[in-house]
Amino acid sequence: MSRAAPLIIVIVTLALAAASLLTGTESISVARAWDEWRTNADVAPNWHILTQQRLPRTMLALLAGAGLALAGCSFQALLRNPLATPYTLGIASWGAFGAWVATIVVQTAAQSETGSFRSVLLHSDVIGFSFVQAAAFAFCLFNVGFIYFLANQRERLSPAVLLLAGVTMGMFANAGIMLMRFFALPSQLVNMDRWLMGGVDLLGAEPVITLIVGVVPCAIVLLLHAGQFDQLGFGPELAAGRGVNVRRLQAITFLTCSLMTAVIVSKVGPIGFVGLIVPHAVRSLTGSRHRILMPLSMAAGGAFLCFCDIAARQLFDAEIPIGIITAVLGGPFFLVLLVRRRFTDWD
Amino acid sequence: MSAHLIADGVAFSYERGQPVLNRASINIESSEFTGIVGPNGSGKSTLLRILGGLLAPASGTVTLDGEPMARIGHRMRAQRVAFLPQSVQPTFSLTVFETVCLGRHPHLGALGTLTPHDRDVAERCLDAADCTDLRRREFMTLSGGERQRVMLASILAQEPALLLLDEPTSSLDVHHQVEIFDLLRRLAEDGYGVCVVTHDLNLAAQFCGNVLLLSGGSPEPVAQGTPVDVFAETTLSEAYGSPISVSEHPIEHTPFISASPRSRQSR
Ligand SMILES: Nc1ncnc2c1ncn2[C@@H]1O[C@H](COP(=O)(O)OP(=O)(O)OP(=O)(O)O)[C@@H](O)[C@H]1O
Ligand SMILES: [Mg+2]
Repeated sequence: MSRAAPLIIVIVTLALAAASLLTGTESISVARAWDEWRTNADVAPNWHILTQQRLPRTMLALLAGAGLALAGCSFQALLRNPLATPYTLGIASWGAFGAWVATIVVQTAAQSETGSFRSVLLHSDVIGFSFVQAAAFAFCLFNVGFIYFLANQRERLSPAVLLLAGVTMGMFANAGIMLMRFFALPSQLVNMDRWLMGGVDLLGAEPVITLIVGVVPCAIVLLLHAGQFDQLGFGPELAAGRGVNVRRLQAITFLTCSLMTAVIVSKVGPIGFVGLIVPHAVRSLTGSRHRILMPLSMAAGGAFLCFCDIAARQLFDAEIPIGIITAVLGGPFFLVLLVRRRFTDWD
Repeated sequence: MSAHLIADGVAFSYERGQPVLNRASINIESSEFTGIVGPNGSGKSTLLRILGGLLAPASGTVTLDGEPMARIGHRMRAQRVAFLPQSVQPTFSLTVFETVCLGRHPHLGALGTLTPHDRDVAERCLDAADCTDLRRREFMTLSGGERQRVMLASILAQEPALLLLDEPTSSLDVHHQVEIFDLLRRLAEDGYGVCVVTHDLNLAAQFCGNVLLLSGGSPEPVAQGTPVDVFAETTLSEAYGSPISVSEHPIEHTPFISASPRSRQSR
């Protein structure tokens, strides 16, 4: 590992976060925002934009990127598979399925006669989640619970069973999505497609708090198991001999990662690619010791989403969805890395 | 630190399978070098997993210093008993030194930080397994035998009281085979309890104080005792289900075991 890699990653992350704060259609000045706050000005446009729009947006990008990269890294270790992503076990598909069902239900409710039913659905707010987000989250949890139940039927949690069960469940959800699309109105199709492309352009502190509550505790739990992931890298038997409770580790990883991913997906949509490429990119710089790899993947994941979100705002006149940018910018970068750096893992 | 691992009357079968072991008993004790031998599929690895607490026996007891294995915490157990599986399947590429340091896991704190002492131990174990010159190499790029020596070093770095090793020399050259067995014997003389599964009956005869012979045909062990007692032609032939001849090793004067192919025997 090059010794400078961790430092560079952290500096780049901070720089991109700062840049993200200063990027947008309105040009604002931090100095003026500070003045407005200090003098307690009645009209404080700079301060307002900074704290209500830019800060949440940057924080969401950092948190979602960090969480997805960490979940990807952990799933790759858990499933012992380089292709694993936070979405491999169907979480994103189930989130999308949930969002679709909610959209259709809301639409039906909007046309229904009974006003109370309608207002409950349209204006309900379950601990900071809109109805669509809450439904996405609930469907994710169902998927996670069901896969866990299936995998638990065996004496040991087999990565292959987990993987195949997850992929199968994902296909179910995709079929459900197609069914919903079949029944949907054109306007709903547009809305939903936009949701699927992801976005961190949410306003105010509330979504940020939701993500902090969803991501930070899970991240701490996962980081505390970093040493055990290293052991698992040499196979479950060796890990068990080293004192790792392999079954417990698998269960904790699976549940924590899934929960974290579910919160992220239901808030900002299924932003793709971060969870796959960021851990691999960081691995190629720092090596595979998880105590270093995991925290740096989080930093790099946050940095990557900040970068993509800046690009989303700057590349064209109209803002484009971040989910498109992650693949368009991340893909080529990752392919270059694949060819240039030596990838000895999983050989 | 002395330790005593006892399996008594152990029986085991895998999910919905034939019984693999029945009424198997073995003692692994500090300062002793025990061998487990027998044909392919006779349950050697299974027995070692049971001894290491990785599998729970269907009946019989396994105790470590008088305490039932199942009641000992994973970490506590790993501090006293180390287990080297027959094969490891690495997914991540670490350097040799990092790989050996992984052996320190049961001794590390919650954050997994290596102390200078941990590094010293790792260096010493690298040296003991004759892989100091490999320390900067990527584990994934090593040859089969080099990997095996590095894995042995990482098991030694665990600094357990008892070592359970599943075929630790199966890919080693003649020279390293003897060196590793000699190292294990010296470790036993220094107070470690060592148990190896091996297919090399001659090395077992030369180095082990005790051997347990498992049978290909039945889940019950065939014989147990000193190599001279166990490695008798009739006993071995029964275990392997094919004639095996025993003579005397020309230099060591221990039993010298050889097998001939069936086609030659029938002539
Ligand atoms: N996970 C498993 N599930 C079902 N059966 C198993 C499993 N592992 C081993 N067996 C069976 O149990 C028996 C004993 O296997 P074990 O691995 O203990 O043999 P062994 O003596 O170590 O053989 P070898 O010399 O080939 O390593 C074999 O018949 C094997 O097929
Ligand atoms: Mg075996």
